Amino acid sequence: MVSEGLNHALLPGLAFAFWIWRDYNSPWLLIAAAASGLVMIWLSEAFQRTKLLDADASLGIVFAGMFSLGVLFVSNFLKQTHFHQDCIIEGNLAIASLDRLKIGGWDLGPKSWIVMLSIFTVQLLFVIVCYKELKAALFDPELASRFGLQPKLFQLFWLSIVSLTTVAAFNVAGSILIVALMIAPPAAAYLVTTRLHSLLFVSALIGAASAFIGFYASLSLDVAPTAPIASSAGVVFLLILFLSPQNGFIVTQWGHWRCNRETLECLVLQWIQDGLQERSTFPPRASGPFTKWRYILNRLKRQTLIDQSGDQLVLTPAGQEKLTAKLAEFSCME
Amino acid sequence: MFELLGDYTVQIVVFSSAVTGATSGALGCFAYLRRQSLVGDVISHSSLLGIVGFFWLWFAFTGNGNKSLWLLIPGAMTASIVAMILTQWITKTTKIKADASLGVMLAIFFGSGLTLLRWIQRSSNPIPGQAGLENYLFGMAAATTLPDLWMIGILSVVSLTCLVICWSRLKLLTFDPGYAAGLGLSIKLWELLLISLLVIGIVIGLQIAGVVLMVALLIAPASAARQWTNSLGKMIFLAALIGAVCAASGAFLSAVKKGMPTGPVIVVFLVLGVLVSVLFAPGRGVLSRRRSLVT
Amino acid sequence: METAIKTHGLTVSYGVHLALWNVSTQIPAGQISGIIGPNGAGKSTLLKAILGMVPTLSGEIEVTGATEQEGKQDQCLASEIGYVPQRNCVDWDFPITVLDLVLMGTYGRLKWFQRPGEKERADARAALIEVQMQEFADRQIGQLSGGQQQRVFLARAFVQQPSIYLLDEPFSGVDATTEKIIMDILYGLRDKGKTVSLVHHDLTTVNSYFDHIILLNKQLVASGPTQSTYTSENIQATYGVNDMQIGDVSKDVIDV
Repeated sequence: MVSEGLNHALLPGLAFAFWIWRDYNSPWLLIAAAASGLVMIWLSEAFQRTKLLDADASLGIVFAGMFSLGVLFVSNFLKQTHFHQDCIIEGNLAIASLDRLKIGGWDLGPKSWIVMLSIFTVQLLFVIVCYKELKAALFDPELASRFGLQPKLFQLFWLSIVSLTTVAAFNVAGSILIVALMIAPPAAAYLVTTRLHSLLFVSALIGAASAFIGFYASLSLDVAPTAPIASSAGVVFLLILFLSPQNGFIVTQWGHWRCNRETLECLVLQWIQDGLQERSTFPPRASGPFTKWRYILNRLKRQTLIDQSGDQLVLTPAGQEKLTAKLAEFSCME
Repeated sequence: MFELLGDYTVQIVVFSSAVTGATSGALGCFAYLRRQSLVGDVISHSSLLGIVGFFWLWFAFTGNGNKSLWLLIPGAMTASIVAMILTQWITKTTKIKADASLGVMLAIFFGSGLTLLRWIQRSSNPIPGQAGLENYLFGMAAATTLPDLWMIGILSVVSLTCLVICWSRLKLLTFDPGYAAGLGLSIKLWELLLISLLVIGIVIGLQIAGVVLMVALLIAPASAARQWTNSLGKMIFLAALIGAVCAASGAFLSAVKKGMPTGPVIVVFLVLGVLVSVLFAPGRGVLSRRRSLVT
Repeated sequence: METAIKTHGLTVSYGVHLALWNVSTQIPAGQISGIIGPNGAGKSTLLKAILGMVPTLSGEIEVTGATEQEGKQDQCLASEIGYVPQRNCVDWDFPITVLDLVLMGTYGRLKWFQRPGEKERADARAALIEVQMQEFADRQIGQLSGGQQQRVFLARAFVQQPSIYLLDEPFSGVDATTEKIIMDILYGLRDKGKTVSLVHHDLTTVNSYFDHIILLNKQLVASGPTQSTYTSENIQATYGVNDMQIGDVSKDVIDV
């Protein structure tokens, strides 16, 4: 949540620095953005320390306030420049691609591409070198400090990297959709894997894929690429959500339904073992589809878990085993 | 500058903003107390797809561009309800948490909405009447027309009447839904009502505050009002007042300085209001707490 | 022994997680009964299932004076059962006073558009007197201590004037004095013929507090009069801990 808002809060610093230096790739932009970010962190911590406001609300208000100052600044002082209101929303990829880095007669490509590539390298190095420390500091800071790591330092460093990325990506993604680009690919990756290292890889892959798809979509639709890229990331998420074989929505619902059916079958086994014979004395069911007694009894007979001789229902040895296994499953202490 | 208040159009703008600010502020108290500012953000950003989508659908069927709130507010409601249902599914059935799902909804709904908006706006074949659709990003109160005011007025009256009539139940359900369920109340119905009030509180303000900043118009008046009173009734009344004043001032200022988006101006006023309340409110405020420590 | 609440084959599952399995038990009328079990045993779930707050996979619940029938259930339960939920589920910064909170107990008998009137206010003040909290009537609820909050919750249940009280961990985070005050109130209710049932976690006080206990660990382990049911074998079966002596039991050992 904090890193989402951080993106919004960097705007005033960026706008102010651009107003003075008029150059997207000036390092001053980064410094001003960092200052902006620090102000935001200080303000929101101050708010939270008063304990007068709900945490989410205080963060939201600080972000909205700083973002609004940025927007007002842009619409009043930067109207005639390249950094206009539209850039806040979706960056300015067209202009950015024209601003190229030329060293000694060699055209090395657009400056912002070089910058993004360098940041990507820094991130990669950071994650590879400090993988274990990062994992501990971000997910279990108490444990990390007991081991002598400085979790606050890592968290600060992490926030700095997020800010760095936000500033550099401003050309491509503006200030609002950058949040979508930072969250949707990892969320989609999280549906597929939970190991951190594969999460990082898959999420980068999905991000790159969305960028490709979105960019080509933007060419055919004749619009700026940022929005299609973000919605491609969203669409990828939806596809994985519904279709993923492990965690997809369809599979999960089917899994729940099967689980409930199995529980009901074991319940009936239990009741038969307790001596219940007539359907009318079974406790009535409260909810669930496919829970007719005849259906369950037939299923149990087909799996040879019960036997019916005349009117008597009795558990087979297989049925006994299944019931014992089910009871053992949840009677251990957690 | 203030002679502009005599102008009929400016009067409509200021009045409708005041009504909007009051309604959002009042309804926002429930969002604030139920810790639903995140849901509010999802609703507000997702509305863009509905607004632009309904505009485009109307054009596809009638060949005209129509930016009336009577068309766009139902669009906003539709998209945000779908987004909310999707968010609930996601948080319930996967490991993804609420704030991550906000980022996802942003990608899906805001991203597609923006794509559609830019496609509508492209210069090769623009749709008539599409200029001004972009104002829904950051708000432009000056675009309010008389039919829009009627729509805002009706929504306000309906939702505030609802609030007054169902007061006891809403208070109980916001404070302790578990106990309410134990009393035998039908929780699903009341939840539906509370969510509907939240959605109305948000879509009503989209024209003046824009989709990006609307959630501040919902939450900030409540945050400020809470510092001044310990009674829910007084808090709602105060939030409505703060919302109305800030929204009207913001709208007036942005109408005067043409081209300035309304949303950010209103938010700046609101944040000042919250700051003042947090610092100076008697009893709870930081300065009065310091003083009582010293004496 | 008259029964206030009877469950038959109650099974509750939250998705893949089974909370209660085939629980068939009874809560006797006019006595104080305790629901005992380790964390995650489904004790809160049992209360919620009785109140119809969670969907059940199977089972029948019978409350004296009202059986589980569609539609009728809600109105009957509202007058039959006073529910005191866990204290941590509530936002104590909420802008209402103590009297406001207690008044919420009257909402069950008011229509949805009605507001509490003079009679309801009088009932609420009387309930506050019962729990010795009448001077706090106009305080904001966040200004109360843990024990005072618990008593106010109890007053809210009083106002419903039910015949059955269900309390979910009323003594967690509460000091010994308040625990005694609350137990005295509950004894008073029992003497008036009311049924009281609470989820309890402190094994050292079971013998002194309860006439009847239900030992639960997702399934029913045992239930009956405390004397005969609260035995080391039963406790072992419930908690799965070896070599336990009743009396020497301390909470630290149990809450692993």
